[in-house]
Amino acid sequence: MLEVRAVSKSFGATPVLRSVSLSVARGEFLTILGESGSGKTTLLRIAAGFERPGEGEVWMDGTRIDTLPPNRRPLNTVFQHYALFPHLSVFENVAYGLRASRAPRADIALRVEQALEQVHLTGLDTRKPSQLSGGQQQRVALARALVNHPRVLLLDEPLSALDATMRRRMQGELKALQREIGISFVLVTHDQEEAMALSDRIALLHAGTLEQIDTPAALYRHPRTAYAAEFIGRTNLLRGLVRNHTATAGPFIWPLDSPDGEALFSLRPEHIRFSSAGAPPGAVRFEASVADRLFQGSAVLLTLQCPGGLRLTARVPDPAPPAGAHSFEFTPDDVVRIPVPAG
Amino acid sequence: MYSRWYKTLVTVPPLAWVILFLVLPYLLLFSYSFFSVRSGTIVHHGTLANYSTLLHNPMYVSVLLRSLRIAAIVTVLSLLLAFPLAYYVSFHAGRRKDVLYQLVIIPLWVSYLVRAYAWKTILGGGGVLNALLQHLGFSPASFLLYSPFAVVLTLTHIYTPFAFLPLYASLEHIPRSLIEASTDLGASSWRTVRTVVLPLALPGAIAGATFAFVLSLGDFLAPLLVGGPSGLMISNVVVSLFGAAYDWPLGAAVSLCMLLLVLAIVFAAGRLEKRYGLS
Amino acid sequence: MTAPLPASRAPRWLTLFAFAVFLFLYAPILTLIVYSFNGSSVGGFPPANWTLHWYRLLASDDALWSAVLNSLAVASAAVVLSLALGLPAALAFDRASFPGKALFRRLVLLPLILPGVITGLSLLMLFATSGLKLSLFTVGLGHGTALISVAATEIYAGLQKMDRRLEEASLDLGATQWRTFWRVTVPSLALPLLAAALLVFTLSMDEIAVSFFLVGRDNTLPLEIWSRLRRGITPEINAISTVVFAFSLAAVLLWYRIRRLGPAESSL
Repeated sequence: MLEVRAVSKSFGATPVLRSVSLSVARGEFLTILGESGSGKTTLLRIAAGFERPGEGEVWMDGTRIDTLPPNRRPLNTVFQHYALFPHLSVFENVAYGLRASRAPRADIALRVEQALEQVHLTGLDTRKPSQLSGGQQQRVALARALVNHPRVLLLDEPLSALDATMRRRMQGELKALQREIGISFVLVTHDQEEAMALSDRIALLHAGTLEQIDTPAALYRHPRTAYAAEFIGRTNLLRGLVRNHTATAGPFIWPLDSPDGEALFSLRPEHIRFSSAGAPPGAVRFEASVADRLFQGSAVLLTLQCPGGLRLTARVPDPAPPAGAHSFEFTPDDVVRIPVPAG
Repeated sequence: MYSRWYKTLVTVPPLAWVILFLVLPYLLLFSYSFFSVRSGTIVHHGTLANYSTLLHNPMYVSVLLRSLRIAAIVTVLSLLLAFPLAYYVSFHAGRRKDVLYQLVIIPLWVSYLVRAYAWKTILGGGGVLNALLQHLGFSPASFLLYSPFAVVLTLTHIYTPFAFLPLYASLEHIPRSLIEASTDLGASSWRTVRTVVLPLALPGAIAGATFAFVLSLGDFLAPLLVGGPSGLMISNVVVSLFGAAYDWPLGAAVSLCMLLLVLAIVFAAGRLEKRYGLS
Repeated sequence: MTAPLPASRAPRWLTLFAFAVFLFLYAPILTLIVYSFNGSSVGGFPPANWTLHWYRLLASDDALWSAVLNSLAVASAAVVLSLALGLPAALAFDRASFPGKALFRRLVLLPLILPGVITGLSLLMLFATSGLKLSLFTVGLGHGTALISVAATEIYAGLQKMDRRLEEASLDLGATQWRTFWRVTVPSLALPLLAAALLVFTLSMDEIAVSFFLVGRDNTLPLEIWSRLRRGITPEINAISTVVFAFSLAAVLLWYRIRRLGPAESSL
C-alpha cells in the first residue's frame, strides 16, 4: 500500500538517502531501523510530506502522493517528543484533525472518546499537555493520529522520551493496538531490541542505503551484509575463503556447498559452546583459553583466545567453568556466509 | 514544507510596504539633495550646489565634527559604565540578578523626553544642583547647562542602558565552566577577566558601542534641551533646515551624509563583530 | 538565560561602582518625582511645602488631555500596523527564500538604528510629494512603519524558540496551511505578539523625532510636553513626567512578565 520508489535526498552536498525503495503491506508493522544519521527520519519525513524527495516517488494504493502537501496525505504521524499543541486541551488536541476535515460536531465528540479509550486514556479530556506524564502524552499523540483513521500510521521514535520500564510497557501496548485496529504501522527507531520485538519486518538503513529488509528472524539468522550482521545482535565476523566445497577461516575448516571465492563468515556468540560428548556430527572443535568474562545474568559472555591469535566472543549459560583452557565447538550450519563487499 | 503561496503571502505585503514607505522616501531624500531653493520654492533641477555648500561652509563641517566627537565620548563613557555594571549583574548579582537587570532596562522604556528634561532641571541656572551648591555655601556654577558637557552627560545617561544590553547578553552566554577552568588553572580574577571574559564579550561590546555611537550621533532632543548654541549637533541643523530655514534640498543633503555615515559605521561594526565573534 | 548562580563575592569597588551607575541612571528621574510635589515654583534646595497642586492643575488641563488621547490613538494604530506587517515579515525572514532577502531584512530593521530624524523627514518628503495632508494619521503611519522593525525582531525571536513540529503535526492531521497559521502558529506566538504590541505601544507613546516632522495640527503627548518645555520649566511638567514615568514603569514590568512566561530571550 505505501510504497517508496528509488527515493534519494541530499541536504546541500551531503547525501542522506541513496535510492531507497521499500513497500509496506496492508496491516504490516514495518520498522525502519538505523543509527542516527542513517537517514531513517528523513525517509519518514518524506513519506509524511515534510520533505520533498530529491529523486524518486512515493505512492499509496496506486496514487502518487509525493506531490501532495502533508495535509492531503492519507497517513498520520506520531512525532518524536509528541508535538502536542500546548495551548489546546487533550480533547482539542485529539479533535484537531477531525475539526480540520470538518467532521460533524456530534461525530467529533464520539470519535475522540473512542480514540482515547483505545489508548486507555480517559477522564483527562480537559487537561493541558503540560499537565500529563510522559506516558500519557504518548497516548494522546497516538489517539490524535489514530482518530483520523489513517491508512498508515508513521511513528518517529515514539518511545525514545520514556524511561526503560515505561518504554517496555508501551511497546507491548503499541503492538496490541496495531493488531487490534489492523492498519499499517511504520516505526522509526535506533533501538534494535525494540525493532525485533515489535516488527513484522525490519528495514535496516545504513548511511542512506537500505542494507536489508526482512523479518526479524531472517535478519538475525541470515544477515546479507557485514553491517547487518554486526548491528543486529552481536557476532564474530571471520574473514576467509571458500574453495572446492571447503570453507577456511582462521584456524577453522569445514565443508561448505557454496561458490568459490573470498568470504566473510558470521558466527553468533550463542552458537559457540563447550564441547560435549553428544555433539552433532560435523561440529568444528577447537581449544581456546578464556581471556575475559562478562556476567549477563542468565548467561556469561566469554572472550576466547584461540590458536593463531584469533579472538572470539562466546555466550554460554551461567555458571561457566573457571578461567583456563577449554575445548569449544560450533556447528557449521550456524555459520552464515556474507558476500565480501566490493573494494 | 511551506507552499509557494504561503511564502508569497508573508513576503509580498511587508516587502511592498517597505518599498513604498522606506525605500521610496530614501530615494526622495536622495533626489531632493540635488535640488535647490529659489525665492521660497523648490527648484526640481539637478545641481551639486548643496554638497559644495556642505564642504565649503565651515559651519557644517564643524557641527559634524562636534557631533562625531560628542558621540565618540558618549560611546566610550557608556561602555566604561556599562561593562562593569553588566559584569557585576551577570557574575555577582546572585539571586538579585533579575531585579537588577530590570532596573537597568526600565530607564530604556521611560520616556526619553522625561529623562532629557530631568537633566535640564538638575543642571539649570536655577536648577537643583546649583540650589544644592548654594545651600552648601558654594557659589552657583553657570557652565553646567547649555554646554557640550551637558549634552555628553545627558546622552551618556540615555544610552548607557543601550550599551548594557548586548554586553550583558554576551556575558550571559559565556559558559561558567570557562571561568572555573581559568581559576582552576591558577589565574587571578583580574587575569580571568582580561584573558577570558573580555575577549568573549567583545562582540557584545562592539554591538553596544555601535548602538551608543549611532543613536547619540543622530540625537536632536538633548542638544536642544541642554546643549545651547555651543552644544548643537548635526540633527539640529537638519531640523532647522527643514523648519525655519526652509531649505529642504540642503537639509536632504545633510541627512543623506548622516545616513551614509550611519550605514558605514553599522557595516564596519558588523564586520568587526564577525571577526571577533566565535566562529 | 542561565539559572541564577549563588552570588560569588564581588570586589567592593565593583559593588560600589555598580551602585553608582544605578544612582546615575535613577537620580534624575527621582529628582523629577520629588520636585513634582514641591510647593515652590522655582525649584531650590531642599524642596519645601509639599503639595499636590501641580497634579490638580494636570487634571483640568484640556490641551494635555487631548494630547494624551491623540497619542493613544496614534499608538494603537502603530500597534496594529506594525504587527500586521511585522508578523509576515518575521515569517518571511524565517521561512521564505528569495533573491535580496538579506537586503529586505536590513531594510526592515533599518529604522532601529537610523536617527529618527531621517526616518521622519524622508516620510515627510513622501507625504509632501504625494500631497497627503499631515495629521495624526500620517504620524500613525510613520510610527507603524518605523516600528515594524521592533515588532519583527521580537516576533522573529519567538519564532526561533517555537517548536516547528507543532506546525508539522497540524498539517499531518489534515489542516490546511491557512488553518495551521491561525490555529497553531499564531497561538504559539501569543506571548511574543503581546510583548511586541506592548513594546511598540510604549515606544510610540514616547516617540518624538518622527512625530516632529509628520504631525499636523493635533499634538501628540510628547510634542505637547516638548512645546511647553520650550516655554520654560514649570513644576507642572514635573508632574506630567512623573505620571508618564509611572505608566512606562507599569508597561515595562508587564512586558518583562510576559517575556518571562515564554521562553523568549531578550533580543533588542
